[in-house]
Amino acid sequence: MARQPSLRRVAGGGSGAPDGDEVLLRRIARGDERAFEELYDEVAGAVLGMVRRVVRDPAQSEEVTQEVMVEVWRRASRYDPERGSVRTWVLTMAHGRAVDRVRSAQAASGREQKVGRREHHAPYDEVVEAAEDRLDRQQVRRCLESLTDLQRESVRLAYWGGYTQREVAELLGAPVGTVKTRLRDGLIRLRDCLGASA
Amino acid sequence: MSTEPNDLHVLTGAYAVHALDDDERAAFEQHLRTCPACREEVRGLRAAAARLASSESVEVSPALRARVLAEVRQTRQLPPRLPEEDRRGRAWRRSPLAGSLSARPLATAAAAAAIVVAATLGGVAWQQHQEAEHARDAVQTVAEVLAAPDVRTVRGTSNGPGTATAAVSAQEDAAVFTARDLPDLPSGLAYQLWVLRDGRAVPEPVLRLGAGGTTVPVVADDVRDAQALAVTVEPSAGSVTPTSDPLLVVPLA
Repeated sequence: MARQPSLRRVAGGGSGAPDGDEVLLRRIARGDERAFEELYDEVAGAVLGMVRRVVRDPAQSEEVTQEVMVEVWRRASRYDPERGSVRTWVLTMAHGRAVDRVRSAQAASGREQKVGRREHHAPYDEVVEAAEDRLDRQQVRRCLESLTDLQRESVRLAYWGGYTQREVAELLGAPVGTVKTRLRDGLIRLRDCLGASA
Repeated sequence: MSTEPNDLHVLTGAYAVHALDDDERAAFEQHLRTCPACREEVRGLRAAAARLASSESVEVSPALRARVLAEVRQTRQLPPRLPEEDRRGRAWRRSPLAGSLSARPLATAAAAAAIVVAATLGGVAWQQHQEAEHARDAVQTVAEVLAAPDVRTVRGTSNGPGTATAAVSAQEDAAVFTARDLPDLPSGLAYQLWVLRDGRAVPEPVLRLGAGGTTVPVVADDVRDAQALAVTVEPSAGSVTPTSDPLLVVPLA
């Protein structure tokens, strides 16, 4: 029976007092499996949802999610609050693993494979929305609208498509330097908009 | 093709969403070591990217949860990273029979290997190497692998000049790879490391040649299920799949 995810929401870390997630992770670092289960129930949904959208294949998505959560357990003692919130730490690691999985599969199946093979269309239809994330989703969607079309497209291709900046440049027919700038500026706008309405 | 140092700041966004190639990432991580403004920016942009992820949250099946918890129960955790001052001495101090190094042959071998690595890199380079490793995320350092209680040394075979050695730890799921007596390559070419797993060659970074044809040691992660490490000659920016036959192979299985 799946446990309800906790409603505890991490605002983005760095506000002085250690938040609930940091305390959890400290317990996890000492081998506390119950604390791990709590953190799992809080973040696994976001990990799996994101990985599924990048990796697409459901079985591989579950594998990558499992790898990531086991790494959270393994590396709990290495979490550094200076680098961001626990949630950011987990989701950054997860995104890195998802992208690695997609790229090594790409490399293995041959260099001739078209770059355009990976998904770069609208959201995945079968995503099941957990109720408490609906507001979050709306906020992110709204903030994405504050980006220019080109910034949003670059961010989407890089983040969800798992493309390198050179591949994004190729797909958009733009110089790599322009893509670098758009990724940076687009994410800065997203950061500022989300930070303002956190 | 290289990016000028003052152009590296613009890579914060791409770095935050894992959109850099391996050599670009290595160069940027080196830059991060000396740029607190970039570190701060990366922190914020990663947080923004993580919010993108959160917006796609889904329900997780109980079966997956059970599998994760079962694997966690069987998985050892990494020990905490010690403050900088304590770290270099770690290979010597890390022994369950504290103070009696000779009673633990593995600890002695690890200590000896650490001396070799440090001597290869030289004092200043070792410090830079340590700091660059510290600036990276979620990657084992050379010292951590060498200090693992289950570390073993494997010698490679070669098709020509050069010898390769790897220090492998299943517990750390990583291997430290070094090669020596490698001839210089013409400009435009470089030695690249690969992890061979399930019939695939997974690219690792291009190796840097130091003094006397010895490569700067690199750590390869995810070696637990790998069959071997191999080195090929590739274009200097690195390849996604090998374009030539291996020169050096270190069997892992």
